[in-house]
Amino acid sequence: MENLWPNDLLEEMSGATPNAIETILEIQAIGLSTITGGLVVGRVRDRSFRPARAWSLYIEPVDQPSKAYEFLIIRSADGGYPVVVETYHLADMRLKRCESKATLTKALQKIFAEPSSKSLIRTLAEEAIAAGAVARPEGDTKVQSARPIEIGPLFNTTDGQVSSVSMFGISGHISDTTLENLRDRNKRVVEPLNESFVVTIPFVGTVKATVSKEELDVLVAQATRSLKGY
Amino acid sequence: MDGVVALAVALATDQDLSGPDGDVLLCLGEPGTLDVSQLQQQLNLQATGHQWWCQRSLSQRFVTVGTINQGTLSYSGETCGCLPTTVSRVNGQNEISPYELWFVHLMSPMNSDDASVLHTGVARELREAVDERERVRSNSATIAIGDFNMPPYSPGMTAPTTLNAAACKTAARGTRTVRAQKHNYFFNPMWEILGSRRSDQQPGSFYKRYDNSAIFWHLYDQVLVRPELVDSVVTGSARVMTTAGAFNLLTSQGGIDTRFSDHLPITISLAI
Repeated sequence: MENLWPNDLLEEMSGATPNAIETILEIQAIGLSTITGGLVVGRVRDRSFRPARAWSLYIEPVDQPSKAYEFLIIRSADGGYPVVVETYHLADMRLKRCESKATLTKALQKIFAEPSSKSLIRTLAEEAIAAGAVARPEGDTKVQSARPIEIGPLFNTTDGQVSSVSMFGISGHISDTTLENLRDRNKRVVEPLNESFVVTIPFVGTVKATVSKEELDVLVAQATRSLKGY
Repeated sequence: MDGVVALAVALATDQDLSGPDGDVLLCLGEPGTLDVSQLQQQLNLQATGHQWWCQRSLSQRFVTVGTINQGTLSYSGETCGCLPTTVSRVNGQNEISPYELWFVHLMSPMNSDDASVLHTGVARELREAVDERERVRSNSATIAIGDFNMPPYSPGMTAPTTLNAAACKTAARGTRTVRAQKHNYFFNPMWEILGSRRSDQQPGSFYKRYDNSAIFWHLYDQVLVRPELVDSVVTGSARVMTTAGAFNLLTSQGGIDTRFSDHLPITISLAI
């Protein structure tokens, strides 16, 4: 089947149409990835409660969404200008009111050039490198969807040393031995499966998972069936 | 620096607040250029018997100070200008209990066109972030403490789609259904302080005379807990502190001595 869209579909666009606020932020999110060689990626999240509009720019080390940092939020009464930019880490210029696309552009330029902004992004880039990421000269403008993984430090319990873990929607605690096995990619814990790996993790005590109503129905039905022996 | 050291030491030595082991977890909001390593050194010199630690957050906007095992805190990113962390408490032979603790500093409505709209907006953003963390961590034992920059009776604190924080323990245990949608409550133990001046407590944590209001002491610094933690809040333990050891945090006229901070510290004890 041939493509039915006319070739001149966009020919009438002047190119001078002001970008939507969300689009301006999306461009910055992609730009961050490019400028950091793909080590730090940005995501725009729509946090609107209509009719008011709000968009947040989150930044995170590549593949580590659990470390997502809300860099700034742009709020608008109705989706247009004026907007207020709140940049959380800038104590002296935390709030900026922008009357137009031009002033918003200027404000974002100033915010991104602040030494504390650069320092924050460098910290996240270092975290990405520490986790094995490699900077690519041309950057990576496509943000892969990664699942959040978070392992806290070790602490003592009556069950020995454990660490708080939250990943892939489940939470609990794992022992220092399991952490060591993971660190060493021990065969008992990490096994290759085609291009992926199977990770086997014993948890200490309870494991919690958040499920939807539909998932709970499936869980309950399967548990019931299992108890009946089939 | 001296005021912070005095405050932390006072908390660790007050067993009503920190329990028999002197468990302290203190958060300083907007600490500026405070020297964290010097603070830690001073605390370990002046309050021996505890292993003090101090940590600055990624945004530099929060410094956490504690005597509890630092390993029991698991930080992730920052959102809404707030610092969330998971605290795992080990209580004897019982299983480990994790709590989602949020150190809060919401935007000030000063200079905003409409304070009420702003309160509602930022409170809703925080509420959504709390809900999301509860889902991701499969844990609804949430505690939020800090400068909400709005009073307990603000729509941002009480509306169902915002923080939905009730003054009443009994009400907070249920859910609130509005237009067929269920909303979980928070319990706000700070209500009991509103308007109550005692010899050791002012009726708020922030003092400002606005032109359009007869309220001069404002209770912007608050603690919210989810219903499952209502019984863990030690009754009457929510406090606005006016002294930190030998330091008086008030001026001779009863206002806030801003050499320490423009807000008075608040504390809460939870049996966890």
